[in-house]
Amino acid sequence: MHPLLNLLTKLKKTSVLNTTRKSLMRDMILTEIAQKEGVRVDELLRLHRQEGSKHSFLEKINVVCNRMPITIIMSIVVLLGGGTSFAAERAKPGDILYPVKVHVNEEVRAAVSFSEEGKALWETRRAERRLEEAAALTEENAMNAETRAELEARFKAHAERIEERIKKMEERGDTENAEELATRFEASLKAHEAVLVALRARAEITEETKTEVRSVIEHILTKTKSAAETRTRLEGKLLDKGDGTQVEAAAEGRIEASAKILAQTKEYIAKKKEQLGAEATADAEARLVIAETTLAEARAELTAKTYEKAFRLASAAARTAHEAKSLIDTRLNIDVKLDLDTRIQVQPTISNLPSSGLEVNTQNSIDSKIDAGMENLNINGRDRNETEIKSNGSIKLNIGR
Amino acid sequence: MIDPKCMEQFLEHYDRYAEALYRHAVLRVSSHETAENLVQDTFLKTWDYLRQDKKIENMRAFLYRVLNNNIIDHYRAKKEVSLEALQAGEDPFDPPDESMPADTQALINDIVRKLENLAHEDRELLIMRYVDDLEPKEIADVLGITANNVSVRLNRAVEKLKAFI
Repeated sequence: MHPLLNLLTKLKKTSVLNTTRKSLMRDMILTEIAQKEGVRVDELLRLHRQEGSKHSFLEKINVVCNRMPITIIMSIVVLLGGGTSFAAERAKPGDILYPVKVHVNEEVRAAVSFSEEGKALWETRRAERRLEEAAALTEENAMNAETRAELEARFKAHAERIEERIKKMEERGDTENAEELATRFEASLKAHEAVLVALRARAEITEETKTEVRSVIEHILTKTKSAAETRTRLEGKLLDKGDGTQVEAAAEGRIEASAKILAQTKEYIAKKKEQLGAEATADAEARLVIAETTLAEARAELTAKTYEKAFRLASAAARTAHEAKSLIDTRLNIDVKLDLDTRIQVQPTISNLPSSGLEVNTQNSIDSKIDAGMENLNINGRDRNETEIKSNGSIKLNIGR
Repeated sequence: MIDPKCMEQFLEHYDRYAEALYRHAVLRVSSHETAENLVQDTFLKTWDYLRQDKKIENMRAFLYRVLNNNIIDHYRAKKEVSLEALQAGEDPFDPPDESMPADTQALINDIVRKLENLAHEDRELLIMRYVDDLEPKEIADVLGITANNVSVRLNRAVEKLKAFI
């Protein structure tokens, strides 16, 4: 028989679809059918009596609404037609379509992301959506205790799930992806926190809104802190693989990776330039300059063979780039006009560089940051760090990296 | 309302045929993601058909027919792109699928490269006969031609193979 025919016959007997993927494909099919039929996915599954459903990821969805029965939600969706799902995307707490956004759209997307990373990224996106909603409500002076409590609870749930996923990735030995996730999450949180701080400082914000937003900001800061701690710990792990020679390779690798991230960020800024406008673009470009300077320092440390410093500086450069991108996305996603005189300051994460001799009194820094309103401080290379810190008084910082 | 038996049978057919359909699609479109999408779409279309209370005599042939049509539609949409890719001598399956063992992927790559020497209709026939293990009569059902026709074309395809390694 002709060799090609032999190959074909061989393939006939070869498995090409493992159980997981087969199961996932099945779940995606069922999800679409469920949407078409206007039923809950778990109802569809109850129709299916096979044992094979132990593999079904869909059974892990709990599409149960606390306040409105899901059947009513689906009726609204059916009544209002196909555009509902899409229209719900803009909903905020208090809007009629908000339950559709949170319980239908987001749950369906959660169901169909199937890599560990995909799920974690979507969970991050969900946390961000809560913060975007908070910003929108703040701007409208519509944040009351009830909506604030709901947002905080959801945000907290998403943040905790993200932390769990990061931990799971770490336990599986996937330290690099875990660290990247932690970094992205940290950067995103900082961007959102900065936006809320800036919004809150506006003249037209009522006292009630100010009080409620402050609570949200504190929640974010708590999560930022733990994300930063996780990230620092994971960086340490990446550095210290036990063997001395690894450190040099790790530092080189990190510098290359960060260089790529900076390049991508540069492209991203160029792409979004028009949508962003002059002010926001200048902001982003200034941050990129800081990142580039930091990366240059990393290279210098590499040449000087101080590998650990090189590694951490390269990481810091990447983080700054991530923050710039997060800030861009936040501005674009929030349907809020951030005026020309509202500059957004992202606080540097004061990481524990060995030589920095740093003490930070976190609580004071929250208070003084919020109360000072943070307007009109200029970004001026690294001088920014010293300017802000000086005005706080309770922080001693030796920026002698 | 959905008939539970209908759903149960539908899922049984999925379990029985999904992998074979996927294998077929992967060989023809050289992309895991596309193959997955085409197979999913095949089952969704089949579900729609069943929901209209239409009977399907031979589920296997039906599924292959729908899949084949999906693949043809895909080619029509991708016509220019795949020509370019072939001319550039690109690797099929870029990026590779991590859940597939390397030797299986290598086998698939090898087959796909060799198949590129043949016309689409010939590829179709050979894959259905030798990979999917369909009888000429079943292939006739899928393609909407006579079983005789299928046998003739198959023989011709195998003859053409002898011109290549």
